[in-house]
Amino acid sequence: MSAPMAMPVSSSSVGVDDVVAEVLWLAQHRHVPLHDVRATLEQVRPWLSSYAEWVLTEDGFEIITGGVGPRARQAVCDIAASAGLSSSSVRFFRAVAEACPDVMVGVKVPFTSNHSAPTSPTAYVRTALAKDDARQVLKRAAARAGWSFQPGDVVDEHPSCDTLYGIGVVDDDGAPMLKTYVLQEVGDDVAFVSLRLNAAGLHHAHKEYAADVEVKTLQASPLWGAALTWMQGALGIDTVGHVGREVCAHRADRWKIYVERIGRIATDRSLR
Amino acid sequence: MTLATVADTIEHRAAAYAALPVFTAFRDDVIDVERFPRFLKEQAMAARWFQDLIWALTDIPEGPLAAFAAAHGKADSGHHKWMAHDLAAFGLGGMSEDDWFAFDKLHSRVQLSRILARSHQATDDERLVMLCCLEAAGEVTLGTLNAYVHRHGLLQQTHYLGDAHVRVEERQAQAIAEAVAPAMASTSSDLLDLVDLVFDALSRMFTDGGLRHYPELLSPQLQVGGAA
Repeated sequence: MSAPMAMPVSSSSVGVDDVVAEVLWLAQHRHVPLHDVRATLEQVRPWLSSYAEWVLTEDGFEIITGGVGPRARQAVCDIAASAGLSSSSVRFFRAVAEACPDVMVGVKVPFTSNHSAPTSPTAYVRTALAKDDARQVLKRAAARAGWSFQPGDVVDEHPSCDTLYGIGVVDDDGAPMLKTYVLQEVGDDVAFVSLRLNAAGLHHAHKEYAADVEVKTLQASPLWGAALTWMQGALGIDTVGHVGREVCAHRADRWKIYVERIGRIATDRSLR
Repeated sequence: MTLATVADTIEHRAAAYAALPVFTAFRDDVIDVERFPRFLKEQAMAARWFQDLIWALTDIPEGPLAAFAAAHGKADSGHHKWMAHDLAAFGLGGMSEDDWFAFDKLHSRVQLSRILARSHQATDDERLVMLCCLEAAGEVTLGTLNAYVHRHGLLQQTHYLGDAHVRVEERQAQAIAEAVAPAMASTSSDLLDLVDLVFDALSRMFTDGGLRHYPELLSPQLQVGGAA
């Protein structure tokens, strides 16, 4: 869902137990302490049947789950808070989620073997907000969360954006950071692009998502270890939901591979 | 997708208000009977302010909402006077000038003033939306404290927190919501801002007041917004 989520569709033959086993395999092979992963799995397990996705990152993996409605909203707050999201960010998420009551909400919990890597969870609301509505929702949520910065104008940073397809909140160095998702042209294609905004302004990095990427086109490298082979061989995954590329002028691009296991995200273009 | 309406937002904000640490502390009996009366003088001050808020927000002299507003204003007048009985019953004496205007309670007066000031030039719908927020929050406040005095055998010592007051207040928020049904079904950002204003002011007031009266029991990191 780091690429924006859609309403879950139960079309997969993959079950919750399968996802749990996959996540434990990931923990082992990405050298993440199993104890931490098991504790999170226990908390997210009731929601995995609604939506389950895992993400390969360069130095670990992430678990994403979510649902629709007040119980899902509360669960996201609880899971995100347990995973370390600040109370200010949780309040912001809750305010956005309450303003958009009939859409999916979700949470992403990262695990890494790199002790210096950021480990903040992200809480998401899968909006489909017109620009003016988005500005209002962001403004009111920021006020309710007590943020010192006004995030509503971030929608104007997206060129030719008319709809905000997702709002996320994460902590960056302990302070809230907003993530927004829009569809826009990337090269010759249209893809989701995510901007990030915090009290210091627009973040220097943004993220682009390629949808429905064939695994065979992904380069095997030490970065992904045996995971790509495992995905294709043991899990029979030929296509992944999204490949995310974090673009930053100051350093090499960072990549993530998003694999939906239960529930489905509508393709980027179908959301338009 | 749909946006939350004014009614939805009042419901959400009232739930968050109910989850403030000070109310949770009363519900969980973290605040014992001996400590209970500490806040009563500030409640007397706030109750008098609420009278002004109710008068201001029901000041609708004409139009289709005038009769409803007048009836509500009449039903909700004079309750603050019950606090004189309560203060005496708990052995706290009368209100002094400091009880009304001491510096340490300035924060509460500021929050109440935010609501009162917004009533100036408010439309009739806006007045009743704000009133609905006050009543929705009041159900939480009064309900929580009424349950507390029941559990601890303090009912005879209080009129303001007693059953008669609860009965007067019952369903008031619902009745207002029905009177301004189109406004409650609206997603107008102006009206939503009003809902936020009222709940933000009340949440800040009760959070700050809780920390002042029960500093040893309420965690300071839960200030401003609490579990909102």
